Amino acid sequence: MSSVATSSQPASIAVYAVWQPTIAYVTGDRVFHEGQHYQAKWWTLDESPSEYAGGAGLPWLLLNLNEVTINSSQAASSTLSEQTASSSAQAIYPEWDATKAYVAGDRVSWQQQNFEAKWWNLNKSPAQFAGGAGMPWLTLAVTASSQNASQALNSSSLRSSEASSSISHSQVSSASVQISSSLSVSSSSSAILSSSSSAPVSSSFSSSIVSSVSSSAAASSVSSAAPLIAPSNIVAVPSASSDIIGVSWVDNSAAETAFLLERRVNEGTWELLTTINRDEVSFADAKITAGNHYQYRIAAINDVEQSAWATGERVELPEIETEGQILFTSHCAFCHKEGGIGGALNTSFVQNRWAESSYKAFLAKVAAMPVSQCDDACQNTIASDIWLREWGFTIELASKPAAGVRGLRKLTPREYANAVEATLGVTLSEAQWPKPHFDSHFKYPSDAEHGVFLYDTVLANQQRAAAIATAANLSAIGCSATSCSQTQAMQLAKRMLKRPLSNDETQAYTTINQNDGARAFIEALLVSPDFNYHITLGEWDPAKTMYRLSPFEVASELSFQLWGVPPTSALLAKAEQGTLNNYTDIAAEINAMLLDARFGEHFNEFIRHYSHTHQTVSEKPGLSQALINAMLDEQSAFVSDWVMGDVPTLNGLFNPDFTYANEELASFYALGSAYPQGVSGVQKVATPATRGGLLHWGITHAANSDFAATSIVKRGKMIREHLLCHTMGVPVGVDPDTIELPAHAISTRERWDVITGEQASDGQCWQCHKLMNEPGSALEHFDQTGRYRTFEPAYNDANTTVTIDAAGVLRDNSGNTVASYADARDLAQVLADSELVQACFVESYLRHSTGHEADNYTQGVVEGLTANFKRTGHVRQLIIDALLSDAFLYRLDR
Amino acid sequence: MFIHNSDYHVNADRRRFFKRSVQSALGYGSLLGTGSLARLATAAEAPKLKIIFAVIPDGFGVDPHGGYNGLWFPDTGGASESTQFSLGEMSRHLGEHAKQALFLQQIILASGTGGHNGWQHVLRDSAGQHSSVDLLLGEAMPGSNLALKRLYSGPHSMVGTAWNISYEGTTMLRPEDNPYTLFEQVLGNVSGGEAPAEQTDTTHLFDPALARLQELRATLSNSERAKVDSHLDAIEQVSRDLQSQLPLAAECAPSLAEPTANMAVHSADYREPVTRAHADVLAVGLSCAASRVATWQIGRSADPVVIKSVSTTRNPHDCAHRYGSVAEWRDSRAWYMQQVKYLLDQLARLPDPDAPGDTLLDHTLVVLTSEMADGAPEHMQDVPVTLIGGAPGLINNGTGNGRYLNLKSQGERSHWKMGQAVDMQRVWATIATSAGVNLPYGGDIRPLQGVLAG
Repeated sequence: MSSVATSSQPASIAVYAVWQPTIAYVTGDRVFHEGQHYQAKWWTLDESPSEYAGGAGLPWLLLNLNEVTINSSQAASSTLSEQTASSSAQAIYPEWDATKAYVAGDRVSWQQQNFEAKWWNLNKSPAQFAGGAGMPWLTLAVTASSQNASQALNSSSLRSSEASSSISHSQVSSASVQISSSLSVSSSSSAILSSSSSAPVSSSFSSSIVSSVSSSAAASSVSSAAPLIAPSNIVAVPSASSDIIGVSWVDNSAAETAFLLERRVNEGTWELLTTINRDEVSFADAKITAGNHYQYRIAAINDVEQSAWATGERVELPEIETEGQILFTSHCAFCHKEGGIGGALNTSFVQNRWAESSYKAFLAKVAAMPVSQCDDACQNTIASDIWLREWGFTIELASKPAAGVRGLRKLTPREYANAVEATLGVTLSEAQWPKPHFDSHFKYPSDAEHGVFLYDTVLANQQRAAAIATAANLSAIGCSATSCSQTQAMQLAKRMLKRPLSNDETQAYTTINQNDGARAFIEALLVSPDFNYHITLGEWDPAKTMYRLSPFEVASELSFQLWGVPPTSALLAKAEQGTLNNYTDIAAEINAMLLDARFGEHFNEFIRHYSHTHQTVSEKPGLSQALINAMLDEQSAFVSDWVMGDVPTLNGLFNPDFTYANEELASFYALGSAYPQGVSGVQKVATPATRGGLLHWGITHAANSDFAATSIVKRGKMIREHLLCHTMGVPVGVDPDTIELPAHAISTRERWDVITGEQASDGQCWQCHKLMNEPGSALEHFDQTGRYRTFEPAYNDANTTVTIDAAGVLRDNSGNTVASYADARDLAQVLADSELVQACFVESYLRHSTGHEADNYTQGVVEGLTANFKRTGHVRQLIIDALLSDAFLYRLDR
Repeated sequence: MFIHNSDYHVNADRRRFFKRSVQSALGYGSLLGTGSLARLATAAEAPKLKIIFAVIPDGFGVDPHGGYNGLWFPDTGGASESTQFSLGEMSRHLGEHAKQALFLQQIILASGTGGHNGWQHVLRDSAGQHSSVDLLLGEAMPGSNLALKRLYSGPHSMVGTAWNISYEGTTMLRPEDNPYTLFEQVLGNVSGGEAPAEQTDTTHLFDPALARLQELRATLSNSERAKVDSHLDAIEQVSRDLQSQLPLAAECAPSLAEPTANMAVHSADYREPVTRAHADVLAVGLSCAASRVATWQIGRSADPVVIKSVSTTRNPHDCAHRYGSVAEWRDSRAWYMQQVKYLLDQLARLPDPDAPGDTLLDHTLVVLTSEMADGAPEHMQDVPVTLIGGAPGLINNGTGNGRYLNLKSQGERSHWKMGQAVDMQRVWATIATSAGVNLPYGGDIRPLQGVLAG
C-alpha cells in the first residue's frame, strides 16, 4: 500500500518530518532534510543531518529509499489514514483482551484491524474506541512488505514501546494524532503541500504536519470534554557531551492545555522547570551542571485539573573532566591524592606555597615529576589546568613588580671556603667544606630553598668553626700572635660580617674577645648568620615601594657573584663612603670587577655545574690523577680566557679553535706538534675539530661516564638537563621487557637502542630515552677517560671492534626533531646556535648567581635578559644586564 | 681485617684538623658542673638497644631471572611463617647471621613503582612528609655524644648526584661519604682508654648569632622567616646537647676504626675498602657509645660506582638491570650482602659499651632493606626488610635458625600484583614503638604482629 518510491534515487519527497534544528531527536527518530531521509542514532539537537551523518561518531544515519519504504510503515504507520489502512489490513498482533490493561504503544489486533494504544486503557474495545482525539486506540495500517518488520517489533513489548515512544517524539507522531481527528488542512501549509502533493504518502504526511499547526485550537475545543490523562514514559537522556539533557514523554491525553515539567537537582526539592505547550513531547534542558543528579517529572494540565505526575529515573551527569584533569588522573593522581605519597594539590597549603611563584616555575616542577610518557604538551596541559582552573592563578606576569627575593641564602661550599681563606687565611680542603644542599633538579649549589641550617649542619658548622679558629694565624690577619685588640677585632669582624657592626654587636663580640680570647671571638664570627649567609634585606625606597640593596649588600653581592669571595676592605670602604649608591657607581664597579682575573677564575664555578663536571672525578683505567688535574686546569684556563675575551659567546664556549693543555694532556689529546714542547703547566694550544670547547673537554667525558665504560644516558642527560634545561624524570610505572642482545657484535649505542629504543618494551623507555640517547651518542667518539676514538670494543664481544656512529638528531623538549648532526662538533655547533640553549644558559646563570628560580617578580626580567642575550650573544653583557636589573638591585618579601 | 689491629695503619696526620672538633669547641668558657659527670655512661648500666639501618641500592633482585626464583626470600615451601627454610642466593651471604635474622615479606614501599625515587621514602613515611625513622630514633635514643643524633654514613652515596635517605622534615640530609671525616666526627674526640678531658661549655659563642637571627626573624616574612626559625631551633638544640655531653666509654678502642690511609674515597678502585672503613667507624662508634643509632647508606640508587670484583665494565646499576650476565646480576647483589656481613661480623666481635661480656651485636638490631625490591623493573613491590641481630627480647627471630614471616595477612593495602600488602612505614612504626617512640606519620602506622618477641 505504500506509494513511496523504491528507487535508489535520492528522495525528493519528504516521507518524514523536515528536520528542525530546535527539536531534540532521540534514537530512531527519522527526519527529512535536504532531499534525504535520516534516522537519529542517539539523542541529538542542532546537528544538521547533512553535516552529521555517516561516521561512527555522528548522530545521523542516512537512509536509503528502501529503508524509508519499509520502516516508514513502522515509524510512521500511525500517520496513514484509516481509510488507506482498512483496505489491506491483516491481524498480526495479539488479539485485544478486554481484561488486560494496555499502555501507550501496546499493539493489538481486533476484528482484522491492528491498533496501537495511545495511553493506558482497560476494557476499551479498539473497535469502539479508536480514531478520535480522545480515543485510546489508534488504527494501524499494515503493508505486506512491512509485515515482518511489524511482527518483529511486536515480539518485544519493550521494543514496541520504544518504537512507539520514538514515534511520539517526532512531529510526525504528534501530527498523526491530528490526522485521526480529520482536521482540515491549513492554508499556511500550502508551501509544504505543494512541494509534495504528487506523492500520496507524503501528501498524507504533509497533511499531518499541517494539521499539527492548527491542532491547538481544535484540542482546546475538546479538552474540557475529554479525560485528562497523565503523560507517561518520561525519559531523560544526557547528550554525549553531557551538556544537555533531552527529556521526552508520551502524551496520553488530548485534553491537556499544557504540561508542567518539574525538575529536582541532587535529590532536592521539585521545582517547576518550564511549562510546555500541549502536544509537545520533548524538551531540551541545557541549564545543567556536570556532576549533578537530575530527575524530571511531568504532568498534564487543563483549565479544570492537573493529571498525576509521571516521574522519570534519576540522571547522573558525570563530571566533565578537562583534558588536564584526564591527564592528571592518568599520570599524577596515583601519588597526588589525599594520603598519597605526593599529597593532594587542592589544598590551601600547596596553593599558597605557589601563590608567589611563577607559572614557569610550576611548569618546571611538573616537568621534573617522575612521570613517564608525558611530553611537554602533556606537562603543560596538566600544569596549566592546575594553575588556572584548580588554583585560579593567572599566567600573566604583569601584576608583580620586578624585584629579587628579600631574605637570606647560604653561601655555597666554595664561597664559604673562599670566605674563610679571604678573611682568616685558612685553606680548607674540599673534604672540609660544608656539604652542598641543593635539589638535583635545581642543579646549582646556591639553591636558596634547600640551603637551610638544621641540626646536623649547625653542629657541623660549629665544629668546623672551632677547628678553623684554632688553625687561624692571628698575626696574619692583623692581630698579634695570641690576641686581637679591640680595633683589630672590629676590623676583622667588619670584614667577616661584610658590614659595620651595630653597637650591641660590638659589645657582644668585644665581650667574647676579652673574656674567651681571639679564637673564641673568631669562632663566634664564623657561626654568625652574616658570615654564613648572603643577607639581602635592603633599605626601604618609598619611591619604588621596594627595598633597595644597601651599599654594603651591593658590595657583598657583587663580590660573591663576580669573584666568589666576600668584599674586599676596599670595596667595603666604597660602600661606607657612599660610592656604591647609584646606578652609575654600581655599573662602574661591575665593569671594573669584570676586568679582574678573579672574575674569569670564578666564572668557571658556574661552568663546572653547567657542564655537570663539578663532581669529583676519580682515577680510572687509562686516566691518572695527573691527567684529571690537567683536564681540570684545561677547563679552568679555557673558561677564564673565553669569558674575559673580547666577545664571549656560546659559540666561543662550544666551538673555539683552541684549548689549554699541558704536555701530558696534549699527548693524551694527540694534539701533536701544535703543542709547544718543554713548557710546564697548561698552555694555550690550537685544536683540531675533535678538541676544544665544552663538549670536547676531557673532563666533560670523564665526569659524565662510568668507570670503565661511557654512559650514553649520563651524557645525554647532561646535555638535556643542563644545556637545554629539560628536566628528565625518573621512570615510573615502566615494565621493561627482558633484554636479549643480538648475536652479532654491537656498539654501545646499539646496545642502548636494544634496551631502551623505540622497539624496546613497547616503546615505554623510548618516550624519555629518545631525548637522551641520541645526544649522548654524539659523544661516543670519546671514551670514558675522554680519549678520542673511532672504534670501540663491541659491547657484547670484547674481541671485536665496531665503528662508532655519532650521528643523530637533536629533539626539542617536546620531542620534535630540530636538527641533525654528524658528530659531537656538529652537535656543538647546533647547540651554540640554538635559542633554546641560549635561553637555558641565561636561566642557568641566574639560578647559579641568585639561588632562585624565576618567579612572578623576576620572570619578566629573565625574559628581557634572554631577549637581549639572544640579540647580543655576549655573556659579559648578560652579567652586566643582570646585575643592573631591578631584580638584583631591588628586593621584596615573598 | 678489622679485628687484627696490626692491619690498621693509624694515620695521625689526617686527624690534625678535626681532632679538636668537639674538644676545641668545648675549650673555652666555664667547666661543666659536677652534675654532668654523674651522667657518665658506665659499664654497670643495663644494656641499651642499638639500631643500625643498612640500606643497599637498586634492590634485592626479588623477581625470577636466570633460573633463580628471585635472589632474596627464603624458600619455606609456601609457609607464611617458618623457622625452617633454605636461603636465597643473595641472603645466604649473610652467613651465620641469618640464624639471627627475621625475614619479612609482603612489604610495599610508597607507590610501588618508580624505584629510583624510593630513596625519598625508604626510611620515611609513605607520603614523604616527615623526618626519617633513623633520625627520630636517634633523637629518642641518645648515646653519650648527644650531638651525634645518629651516625650517618654514606660510602659512595653522592657520586654523580645526591640521592640520600635520611630526612629532617622535608629536607634531605647529606651523609658523610668520606671515611676519614666520618672517623673524625664520630671518634675524633674519643680518648680511647684515657681519662676523658674536662669539658667546657662554649655554647655562649652562639649568643651574637642568636641575637642576629632574632633580628632577622623580625624583619623577614614567610619562607625566609621559616629558614631563620629552623636555624634558631637547631642552634638551641645543639647548644643543649653540647651542654649535656657525656664522656664516651673509656674502654672502647677508636683506633680500630682508623681508616687506611690514602684511599680515593669516590673511586671504584677503593669501593670495598671505603665501604668497610665506614662500617668500621659505625661499629666502633656504637661500641664507644658515641651514638645508639646509625644509618649506613651503601652507594646510592642507580649505583654508578663499579664493583670491580663483579665487573670492571658494568656498574652495579646496570648489573641490577640484568644488562649483563646472570652472574653479574647475582654477584652484584651478593656484594652488598658481603658488606653487610662484614658489618655484622664487626658488631659480633666488638664489646657492647653497656653490657660487660656481651658483644655489640647482642644488643644491636640491624635493619636491612633497599629503596626498591628489584632493580630491573625498578619497582618497590615486595621490598625485603630483614631484621638481624641479637637484640634479645626485641624481635622474634626464631630459636636459632632465623625466622621467615609473610605479612600478607596483616596487609592494609591491596595491590594489583601483590594482593594484600603492608606499607613499609608500618615496619618503622613497629620498631619505633618497641623503642618507645611514636612516629608522627600519617596513614596506617599500626605495629605489625609477630615481629617483636612477645
